[in-house]
Amino acid sequence: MSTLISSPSFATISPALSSHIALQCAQILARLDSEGLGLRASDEFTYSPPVRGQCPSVDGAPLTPDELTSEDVAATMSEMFPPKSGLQTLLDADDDWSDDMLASPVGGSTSEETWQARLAAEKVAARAACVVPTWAVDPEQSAKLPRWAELRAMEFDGRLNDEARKELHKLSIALGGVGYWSSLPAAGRDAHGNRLVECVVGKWTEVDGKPAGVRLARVPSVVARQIRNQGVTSMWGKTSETTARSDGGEVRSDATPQGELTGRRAGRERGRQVSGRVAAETLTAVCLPPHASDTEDDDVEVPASLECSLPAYLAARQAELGDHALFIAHLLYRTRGARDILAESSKPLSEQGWRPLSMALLQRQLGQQRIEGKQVWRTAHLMGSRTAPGLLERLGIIERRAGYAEGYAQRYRLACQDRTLPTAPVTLAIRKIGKLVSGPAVPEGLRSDYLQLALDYHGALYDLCRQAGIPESCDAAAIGQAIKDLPAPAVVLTKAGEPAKKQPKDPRASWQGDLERICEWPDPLAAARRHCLYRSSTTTRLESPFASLPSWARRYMRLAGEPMISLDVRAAALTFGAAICARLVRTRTRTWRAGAP
Amino acid sequence: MIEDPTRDPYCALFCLVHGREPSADERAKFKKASVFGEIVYGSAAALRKSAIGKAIERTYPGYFRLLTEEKMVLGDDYASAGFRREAAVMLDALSPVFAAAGVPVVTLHDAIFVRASDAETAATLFAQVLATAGVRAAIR
Repeated sequence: MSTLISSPSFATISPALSSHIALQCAQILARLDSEGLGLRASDEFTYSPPVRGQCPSVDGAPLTPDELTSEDVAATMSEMFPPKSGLQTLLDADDDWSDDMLASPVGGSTSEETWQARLAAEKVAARAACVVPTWAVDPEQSAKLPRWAELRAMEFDGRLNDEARKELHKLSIALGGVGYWSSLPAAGRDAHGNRLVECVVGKWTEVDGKPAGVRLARVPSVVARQIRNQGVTSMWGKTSETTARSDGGEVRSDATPQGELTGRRAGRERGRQVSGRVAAETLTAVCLPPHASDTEDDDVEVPASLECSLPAYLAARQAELGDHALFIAHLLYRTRGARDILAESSKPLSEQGWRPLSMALLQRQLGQQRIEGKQVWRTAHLMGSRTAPGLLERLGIIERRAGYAEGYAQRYRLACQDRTLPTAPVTLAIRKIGKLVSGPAVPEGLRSDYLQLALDYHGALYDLCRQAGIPESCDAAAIGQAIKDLPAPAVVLTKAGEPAKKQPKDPRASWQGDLERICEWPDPLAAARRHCLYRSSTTTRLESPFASLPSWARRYMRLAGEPMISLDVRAAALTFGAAICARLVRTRTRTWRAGAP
Repeated sequence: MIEDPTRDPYCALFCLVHGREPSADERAKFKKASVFGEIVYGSAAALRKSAIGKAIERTYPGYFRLLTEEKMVLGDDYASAGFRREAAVMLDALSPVFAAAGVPVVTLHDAIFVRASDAETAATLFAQVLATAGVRAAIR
């Protein structure tokens, strides 16, 4: 090699250029030596004397080493050293142009041509790949996809200005939502602990006060929470699936590992799970129940119901403790695989039954109940008091310190650790599917009377026209259009001539609503709903479509073909409130008389 | 509490607090803010501090004590308890009586709707139902 470098022909290129190329060659050879691929004397290079005119130049003047780019050097080297054979199969690094330069083309073309062709092919492939979203696209927003792809191509070509970058970011959020955010390369956290990602609208990172590197943006906390919850959601999906399988006849395994990690460690694991870099076997180990997390998320999803096996003494107290409390007991009681216990860092503690739980979340999940007029946390049942033993016991503060250091929350276990006690299967409903709207039954007499209700449809429509000040019509569509065409109410101005804060209500919306409710009555499709009566579960009041009619339209109702009159209790809220008090007085009087000596 | 059952209770309570008859606007505002906001939906502590609460306590101390105790026991459920009491009378107690009398009736919370021809019979039956349930009410 030293012969080559000291060759007079080599030196004729340009002293500066030859020294620069010599330096590059020395680096390549050093690398080959370090990899055991050092050139030997027998290695052959076909040496072609360089031609002056082929030297890298600008307007005929040779470039100085400072002006040389890697491409210039590569071009010159490939001209000087067209490799003959050999090394191309051994050197396959794709990030160093010098290795590419030595890699020989198989088909006889020069290495530069191959290099350029490969670069071009890679560029085309990368350009084609970048216009395909890597996240699930919202089907409702799919019309925005072409524009998004166009912007992505512009980004690839480096033609995005600030406005286009913002548009691309907004489109990506609209199309991909949380999926888009979670697909962005993570870049650690900022000083406040917020997640940072490489993002097209982020701020440039600075090196020595100059923009460099990548654009970093903070992930919105709402999105970060949603990303975090994706892991929990998938876990609960797994739980439901397991439950569904058990419904199909298979025995549900209580050894399903769940909820063994918590705190910061769990957060990290969940983050990894979301980013899809966690091996499949570790996924189950990092799935968390919401109770074990030390972060309070409001929108944690839990399965609707869960079948589990609990000690009979606990199952018997289902009505007293509630399903949520028994769910906690289930989390603490379930059997777990040896692998999961081993995976946990505090092995001795977990072997003794201690499990991490967050009491703050526990309280929020279980809620409160009223006992003798006082609001009491349901967790009080679990934790007990000075006078009554509870179901759970908490790990002492000394032992807990080790857990704190590892990022765990507090640890609890069932007070009764006897696992030889008989168990019983329990079905726990641990998610409110919806507010119970059906209260007591509606009296049958009322149902038959409601069937005799009818609306003077045209009379109500004419009345509505008069109220709105539009020409009277019996065509609901025409009335609706006429209301829509009415001018908006005038804006009230202050003395200063500015619009007042309190503006009059626009009556057009109210009239449109009245029209809709009136039109429901003659509609045969709405007949079923019209006679769908139910009573509220909380107030036991009767809810009916009759109540939803505008009060002025009641005068157009007919009961058994006759006009109706109303009789109502004056100040009913006060009257029935007073009735409660009167009943209280009577009850107390009876109690006092019964207890009197 | 209201001696004259024919009198509007809201006007009577307004007089109790302010010592004068209300205008139509004042009555509506008083009904919404004071009667419903403080007596029906307010807490016992808020009722004690309110002007209407102090007026009731001053004039009807026994009723006020019962009211506040009931609110303390029921808490936020006090208003719902009133509605449940109302529904028990207006639906469960009233419907069989009207059905037995052959009077078709439709209820709407604290009101009943009957045929105009059944007005007198319905008023009698309604008063009877309320009296049986132990509710002193004025029907209009």
